[in-house]
Amino acid sequence: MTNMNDNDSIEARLAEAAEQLVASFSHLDTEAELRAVRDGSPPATWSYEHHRRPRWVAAAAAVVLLGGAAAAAAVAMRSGNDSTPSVSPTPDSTPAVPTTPVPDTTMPGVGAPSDVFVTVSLSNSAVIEVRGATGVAASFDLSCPQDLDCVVQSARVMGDTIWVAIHDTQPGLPDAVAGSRVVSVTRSTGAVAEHLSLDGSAVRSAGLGANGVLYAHLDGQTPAERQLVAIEDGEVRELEIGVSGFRLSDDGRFLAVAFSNPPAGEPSRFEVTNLVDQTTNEFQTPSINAGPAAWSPDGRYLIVDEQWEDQTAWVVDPWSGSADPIPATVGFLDGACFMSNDVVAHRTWNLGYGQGDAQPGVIRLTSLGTGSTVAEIGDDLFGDGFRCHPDGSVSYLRRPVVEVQLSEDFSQLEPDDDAPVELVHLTPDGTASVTASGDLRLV
Amino acid sequence: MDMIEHVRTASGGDRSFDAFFRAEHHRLAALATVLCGDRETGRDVAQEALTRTFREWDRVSRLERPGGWTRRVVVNLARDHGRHLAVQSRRLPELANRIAGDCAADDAPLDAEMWAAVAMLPARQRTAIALFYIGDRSISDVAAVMAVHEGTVKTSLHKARSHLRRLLSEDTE
Repeated sequence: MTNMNDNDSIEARLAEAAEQLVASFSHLDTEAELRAVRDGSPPATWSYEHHRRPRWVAAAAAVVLLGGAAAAAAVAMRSGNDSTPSVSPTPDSTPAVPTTPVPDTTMPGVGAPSDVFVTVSLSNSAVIEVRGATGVAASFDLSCPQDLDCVVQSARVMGDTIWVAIHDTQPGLPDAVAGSRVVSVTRSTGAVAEHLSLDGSAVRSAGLGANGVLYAHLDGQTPAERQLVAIEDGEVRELEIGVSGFRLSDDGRFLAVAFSNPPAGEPSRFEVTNLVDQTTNEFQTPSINAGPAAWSPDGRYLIVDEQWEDQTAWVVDPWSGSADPIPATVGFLDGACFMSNDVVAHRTWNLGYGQGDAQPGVIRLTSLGTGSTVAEIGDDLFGDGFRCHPDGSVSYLRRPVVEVQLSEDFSQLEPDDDAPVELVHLTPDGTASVTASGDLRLV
Repeated sequence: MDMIEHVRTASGGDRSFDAFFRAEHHRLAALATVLCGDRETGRDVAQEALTRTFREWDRVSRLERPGGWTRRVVVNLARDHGRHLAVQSRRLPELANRIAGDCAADDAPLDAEMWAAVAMLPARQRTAIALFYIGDRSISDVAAVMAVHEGTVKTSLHKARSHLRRLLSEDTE
């Protein structure tokens, strides 16, 4: 079966490396670990820092076997909301604007929240596409180095400016990171400016606060390397360490910083700041590795994503000092967004943990004030993510699912990771229209 | 030797699971280590996959290749690991250290550099390499576990070897 070639040492080296690696586990106490499996107790090696959640218990869920038809049992309860304002139509696709990034020490301004979001294409990763509800508003060339690929880590739309965190990677190897950068794209002018450039994969996300400070999250192996930094006048200043994530509100007024990956058994800590009046607060969540996902437009609420395990999310009142979920939000899944100050859209479709089975669902709108379901959009949805629009509609990235026959008596629906995805606009009355397709990714 | 077939000849559900566990444990830990890029996580993922296998053993043991079922769970768990964790640092020496983990210097030799390079491959190529070389070296079985066509596995392996060649040569420059 092997394609051994005299000139190909990789083949032989892989084969030998595989046997060495298997042999390197021979010192394990197999009988003790077998007893642990039979007893249902956690493995003795349960030490990895992200595994503090009692996953052993969570994993006890039975294997979900889905037949093709049974998986499509989502129920849609559609409800229109005619009182919400409509979205202004966005212009059709415009050509990419090739602009050479230049180091910049001036900061574009922070504007009002914008009803656009950003996608990238895997086949043309040097270009970001800014989309409204119904189509591409503009596309911008990030002017990546010629011998490297761009991998956009995050793109935060803040008024007229999009703050993009980029990894420059070796061609075809998205994890082989040569450097990382923070770039701003000014939508009205097409100007692209580089604000930070570092070796390695440190830069994860960035955004401009209403106080004029450009914040960036740097990641690393040690708590000291996981920093929130301020970039002012071309200088990088460390603000916090041990940071697992941060989130600015769309208008830059509110800042949430999460300090996660603490020692085992310790809660995750959040700090929130009103950058205009410098009000601050803290709260702790007992859940592991949670991070801030989205602020409500008025800054009253914060969506918290658990970034591990079962993809849960919930909404907190961060100014109360409590990490307790707003009651209506227990059991949300990550990727939720605010439709308005007190209405959150969240998905019910899911990917079975460990099993990889696609569980179709809907996008549900929940009122934080009453706890009631305002509406459910769509039917039999499964996707890679979605974005909210102020008119009550959503754009969702539909991922096809296929029924995979794993054996004679075992099949399940799974995401078709090879298929093109479709960007679908869903209105509150259930009208769906495909606005784009291809190898798209929401960032 | 096909340990799976050996296991299938054992009699009695509980006893056959014990044999299955003993036959597969180290290999699954190695597989999960490569897929997760971390030795400790790999051990945990393998243990969890075997626990799921134990719970489903009445059914899994009747499959033609129960090892394939468990390897698929390992792949899925490793994918979840990658999906939920922030991307780790991808420098070869750091990855090599994570894969070598607690291996003592006097243990069997370990080509951690190779596996660190494998950890840098795109997910599909990494999975194909791990399943092929640490698993049973059958294109058809790898394709079954990955739920892709055999041609896709062959393409992934070819691309992966090309990338590895480049990564390892660059690292030694």
